[in-house]
Amino acid sequence: MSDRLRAAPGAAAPARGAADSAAREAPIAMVRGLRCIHRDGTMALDGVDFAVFPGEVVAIMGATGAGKSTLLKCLGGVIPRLEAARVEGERMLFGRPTAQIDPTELAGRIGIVFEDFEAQIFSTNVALEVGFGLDQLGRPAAEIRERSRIALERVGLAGFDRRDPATLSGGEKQRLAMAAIWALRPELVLLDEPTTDIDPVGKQAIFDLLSAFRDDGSAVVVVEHEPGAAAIADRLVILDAGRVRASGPSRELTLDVDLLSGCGVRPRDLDVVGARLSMGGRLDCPDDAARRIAGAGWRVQSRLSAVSAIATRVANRAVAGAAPLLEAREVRHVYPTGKQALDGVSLSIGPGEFIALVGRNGSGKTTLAKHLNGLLSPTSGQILLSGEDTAGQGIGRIARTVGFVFQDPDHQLFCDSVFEEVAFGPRHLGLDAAAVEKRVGSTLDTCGLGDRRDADPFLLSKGERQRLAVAAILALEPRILVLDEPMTGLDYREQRTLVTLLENLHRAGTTILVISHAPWFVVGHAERAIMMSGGRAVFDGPIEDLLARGELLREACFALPEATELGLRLAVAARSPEDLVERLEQGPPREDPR
Amino acid sequence: MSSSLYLDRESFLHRLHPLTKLFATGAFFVAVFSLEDPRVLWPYPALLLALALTAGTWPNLRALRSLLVAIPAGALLLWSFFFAGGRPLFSFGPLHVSVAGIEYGLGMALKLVTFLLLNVLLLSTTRVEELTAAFSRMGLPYRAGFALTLAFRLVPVFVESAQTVLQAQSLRRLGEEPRGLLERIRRTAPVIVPVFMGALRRADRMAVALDMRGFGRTGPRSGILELQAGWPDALAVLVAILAPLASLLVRRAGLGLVAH
Repeated sequence: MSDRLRAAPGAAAPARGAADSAAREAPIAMVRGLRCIHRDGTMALDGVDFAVFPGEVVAIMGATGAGKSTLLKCLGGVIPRLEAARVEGERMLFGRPTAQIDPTELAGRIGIVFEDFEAQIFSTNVALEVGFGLDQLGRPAAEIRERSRIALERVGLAGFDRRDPATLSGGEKQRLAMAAIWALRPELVLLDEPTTDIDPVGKQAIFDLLSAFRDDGSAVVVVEHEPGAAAIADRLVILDAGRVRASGPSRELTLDVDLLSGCGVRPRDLDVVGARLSMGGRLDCPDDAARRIAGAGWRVQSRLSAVSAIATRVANRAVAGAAPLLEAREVRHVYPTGKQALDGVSLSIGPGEFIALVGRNGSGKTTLAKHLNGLLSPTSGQILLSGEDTAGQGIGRIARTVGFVFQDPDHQLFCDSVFEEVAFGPRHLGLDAAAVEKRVGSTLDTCGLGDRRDADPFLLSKGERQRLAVAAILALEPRILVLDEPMTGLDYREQRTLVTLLENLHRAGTTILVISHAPWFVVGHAERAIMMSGGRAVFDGPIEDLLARGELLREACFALPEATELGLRLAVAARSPEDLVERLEQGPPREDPR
Repeated sequence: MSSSLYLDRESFLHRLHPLTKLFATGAFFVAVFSLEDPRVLWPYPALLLALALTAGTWPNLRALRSLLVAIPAGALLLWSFFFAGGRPLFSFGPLHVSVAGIEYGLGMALKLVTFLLLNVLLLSTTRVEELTAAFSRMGLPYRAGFALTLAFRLVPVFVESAQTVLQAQSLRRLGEEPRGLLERIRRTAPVIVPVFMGALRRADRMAVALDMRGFGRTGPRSGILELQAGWPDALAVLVAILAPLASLLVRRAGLGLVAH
């Protein structure tokens, strides 16, 4: 990576396409020498230069705590106007000093979607939610209806007009928040992790929406952990501990996979493969990558290594061939609202399995998971735990075997210290003080929280809170651990730490079932996938078998990781970029078939 | 879970202007407030119940059935024992139960059922946004009207959040049920912390979201709901006026009260 890119300040001109012409225009938002100190004394930003121009998409990436959200809020004037903090440095918005702008002038000109999108939804139906802003701005009713209709179509919520937002799934709510912004056509769009709860295909739809904003001439700043955001961005800014670590054209900067990984950003699979194989230049898509890799003489290694890799997985599954630990038999669930969430689901989970539960938003994943631990009871059908019907067993008895980690760690943490949080469960098991101390100690060590035992849980990072939530359940030593979207909101480093933890637990014999929208995690780490669609399990089998079911994957809005797509084109079942690279060996270069 | 009591249906009551419904609610409230005798009170809750059923609000009545039974039953019991006057039918120590006491208790029970039904009807057939618009028409500043109706929007959200927290804690307590009232109260503390923190964070986010979508702006709003009053509203207002008028006539005829 060139020094120019690493050293360039954020205020560098936009990079390509529509942005080239935009370079001549004044920035829509700009900060120079920005320092932001929160009320608790934390220096969130320390001398940041940044600018965004009309018709440009800028992605801000970096580890948790790097200052991404703070920068976003400072750009939009949320800090310090609505959120107190000490701010120093120059800040300009729409060509004027931000501090001099009357807040009412900003209505409709800035669109913000926060990570905590549910808090932004307050209407009683979808149409009213999307039309709220336009109504406030006094637009004619016919225009509100038309713009709302288009906005809902853009985010894939056409026909949802009369639905109560409270009845939507997390991903659908996130799309609704985006539609409410889209309808206003703001000049500046600020998005803080807008795709955390959305299925893979839905994520791409949101990223496409960013391009549409750009085409309309809006300036878009998006904070994301997903490499997909960087892929569509004109410019990428990497923050590290409150400073701009690197800034430049996204297509060039994303090639520096070591820089990205080092800053807690997950690089694109194809960029990792390209870097490891020294391909030089960007591999745009799996087709392009396959052609160039083959052209450079790389081919799949001898059959022996591939067979041994598969053999390892078969051996893992042999453990799963034992008597089932948990079974669902024709489980149906109808909510009091009349919505049927499960429609005859049957499955069997054996000891030592590592299962991913996947499917589009609203397909019934969480409802199914809540049946496995007794939080919900089937309307009809049975759940069997070690062969015994769970009906009438009570949550307590089931919880000793099936641990459940909720999606939001803040829903399950309530003690004053990390130690107390983890000790809570074992005390209810009736263990004496010495046994509790021993179990908490080993659980905290397992979860990498050994040095945080006296910390206040609410002051931990999101990744640490997520691991603490896992630790609190693990301390009960369940045989099965069910996790609902545990990667949500974690940066790349935190995700890897959590994955390592889950793999260690799995190796130690715990059965793991994870609800996940993250293809890299599902394909890279699970052994078996259960795919839900419309309340039914439409696929249940080894991950390798899932890879070949293109139609099913599309139906469930599940996109394979780029490395796997590339592997399929090279005739190898690759689970990750590293896995793919390991299976390739270089022979003499071939001529480009073109 | 739904965000409010509102039920999206196509009924006569749903189509009424929210101001009409607010007026009718007030009128029925006044009508039953001035009466005591169950023999003249019963038509009011009967009419409201019939309206509630035709408006498709049965799911809410079903959900609130314990309230609809417990509150009037409590009132009947309480007033039967504590009504001063009347000829005692039987006594429990210093407490006397009289025919007049039972009549008064029945009357109170019917009044409370009427109040409950009025609220269920209003909230089941009127969107929160319609109430905000109605308050604006009544001259209340838009922001004040929005803030007033915010409770209807947020309470169900907090209830849902509290339920999730309770579920999570119940799992970690291994389902162990609290013993005694004190233990029960003590256990609410850990629920309050995450729910309260969540509520504060939510309020903070909502303020920003509202701000950015023009909430703080002065000037006319377009009225996305397009509320229009028609002849059904005229009919409803007429019935609403007749309700307290009928009560007044009954009182004039000396029939509405229970003799002490």
